[in-house]
Amino acid sequence: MISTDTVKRAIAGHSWLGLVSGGLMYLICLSGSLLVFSSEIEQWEQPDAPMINPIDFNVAAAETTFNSVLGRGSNLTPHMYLVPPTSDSPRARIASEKESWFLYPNGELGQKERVFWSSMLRELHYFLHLPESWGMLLVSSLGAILVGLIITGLFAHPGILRDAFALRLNKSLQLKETDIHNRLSVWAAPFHLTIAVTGAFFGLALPTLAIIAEAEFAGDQQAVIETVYGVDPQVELNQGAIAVNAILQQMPVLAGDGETFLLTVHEAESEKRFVGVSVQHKDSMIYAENYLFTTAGSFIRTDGWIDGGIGKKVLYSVYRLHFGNFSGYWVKLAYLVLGLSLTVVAASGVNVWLAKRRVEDGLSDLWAGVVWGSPLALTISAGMGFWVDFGLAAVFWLVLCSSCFLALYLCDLVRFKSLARRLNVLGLVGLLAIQVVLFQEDAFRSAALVMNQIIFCLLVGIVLVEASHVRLSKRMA
Amino acid sequence: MLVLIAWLCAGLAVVLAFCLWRGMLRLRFAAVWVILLLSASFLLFGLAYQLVFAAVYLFLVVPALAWVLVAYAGNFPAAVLTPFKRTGTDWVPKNVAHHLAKFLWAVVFSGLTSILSVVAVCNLLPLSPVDRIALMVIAGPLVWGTVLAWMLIQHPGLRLRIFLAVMGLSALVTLIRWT
Repeated sequence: MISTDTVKRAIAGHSWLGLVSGGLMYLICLSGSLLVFSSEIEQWEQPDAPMINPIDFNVAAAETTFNSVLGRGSNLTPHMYLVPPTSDSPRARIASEKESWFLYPNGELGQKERVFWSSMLRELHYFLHLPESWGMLLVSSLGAILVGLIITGLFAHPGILRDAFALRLNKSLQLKETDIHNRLSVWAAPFHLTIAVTGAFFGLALPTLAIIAEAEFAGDQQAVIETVYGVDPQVELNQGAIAVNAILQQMPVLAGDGETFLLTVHEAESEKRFVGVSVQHKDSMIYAENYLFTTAGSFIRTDGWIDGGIGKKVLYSVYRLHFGNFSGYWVKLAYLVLGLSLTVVAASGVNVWLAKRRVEDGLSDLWAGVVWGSPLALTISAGMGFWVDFGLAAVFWLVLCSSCFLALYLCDLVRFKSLARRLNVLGLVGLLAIQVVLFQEDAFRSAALVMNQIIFCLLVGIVLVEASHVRLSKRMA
Repeated sequence: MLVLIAWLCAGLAVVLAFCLWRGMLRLRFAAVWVILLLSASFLLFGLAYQLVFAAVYLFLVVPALAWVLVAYAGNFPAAVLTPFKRTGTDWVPKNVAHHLAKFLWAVVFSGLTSILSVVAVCNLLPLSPVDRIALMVIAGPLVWGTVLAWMLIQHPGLRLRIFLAVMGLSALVTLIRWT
């Protein structure tokens, strides 16, 4: 039995932990929920890019184009990529670390890839648009703080079984927010804990590796990385063109029914080039197994992720576990729903604290501005991303700040929330309209169709919420 | 087929928990069945896929089913709830400096202490270097969050300070000795 004193301290700790991190947590959860569909969002941003059925992919033609790009030298970066079409993303690309171009079915180089909005969304989720290293450390620390919030939350809730299915939306504003917060958080706590730990992993891995290097490898961080990832294979110099066709023809034998989704030329700027082929195995949680080849197509070895020890498997499973990138659309949808639930938990947590004060003031307005302004800022920046290829992060923050100022200016929470919901609906309708006008039938196929269906569902959801508020207001009047 | 039965078991477990909450079943009887059904669901998902997938599927399926019952049992408002009275803004709430300082102290100190301790303890384990590194980077945030929660819940007495000081210092000494 937990003592009343412990419960009180747990509530206080949970409140302040949530209050200080609430805004950032909300943005990270919102952007992370959408990033579950990152591959689909990238395709949605450019639905008119050439689509290739994986079976019809002309590897010989792609090899010629890839080698001509590698031969040009002007666009080379240390890693160069050939992305073959897959069942999830039926497009072929040739990419450097900075740019990417689509391939036509006949192997010709097509238009440049435009993924400005998804990049902005990714940067928001990974480092909140801050300088990369500091931002990632902050976001990862928020993962650890989320673990702390989950544990203090469980201690702060002695009536966890008594209230297991209670949802009292009709009593008072505080009870309504508390019940929404508790029901969403308690039932999904194991999932949220998984997301918190795997999320913290990305940014904390480097500082932890630095400490491990000091403790075990005499400060040599490269030695730690080589222990985990292995050393580069020794290859002969100056081996000539990349034998893409010969390499890919060996994959069914080497990788069984795994799906090849990436061919990477390592050390592309030097004469010590070698090739890595990444294959995703459906029956494993690891991100990919890498098969290493010489440029002439001789198989060297694998990186040993799939047959490696438990440690290697754990390290390489974190990405798919965090982003729900396994088992197809139903898992992605579940991740979206549970991710959005965590977003609501972050918002309602602060709402509970605000409601406990029993007054409405500028702080309430400001928080409503953040909560309703963030999706609006994402919608507007997404719409602008079809024309503008820079400054989308600035657009996002500008809209978010404007939303906060509007909330403060109106000084009326009910009116502001209603207005914000309508603006969000307008934004989503605008997004769908832009897709249809710009891309016509391309907006109704493949991943673009999936994304547009999700946008439509979100739109219907907000319309229903607004309609219920209007109905209740009329009844009260 | 296995997946279907796994779904059914998870669904039944949630429905039983709901009946238990409504007072329709005896506590001991229902609680045992809820645990049995959840375990069966986990095993069946594990047989159909792998244990890692099974755990994640269960984490996804149970809340989704439970929320349906939460919505079913929910009391929805018949009118807009009365909003709170409007007042002037208190931009700096009471005790904010104290709590902010406590937040920063707890987050930073628990972070440093746990990461150092986890690395130090994992170094003692008879595992391969890769397994130890994996354990360190996964356990690090988990221990950090746990120590953070413990610092916030614990009464700020001598016990907390001594424990943290000993933990942090011993980890630091161990690491210095190794380097």
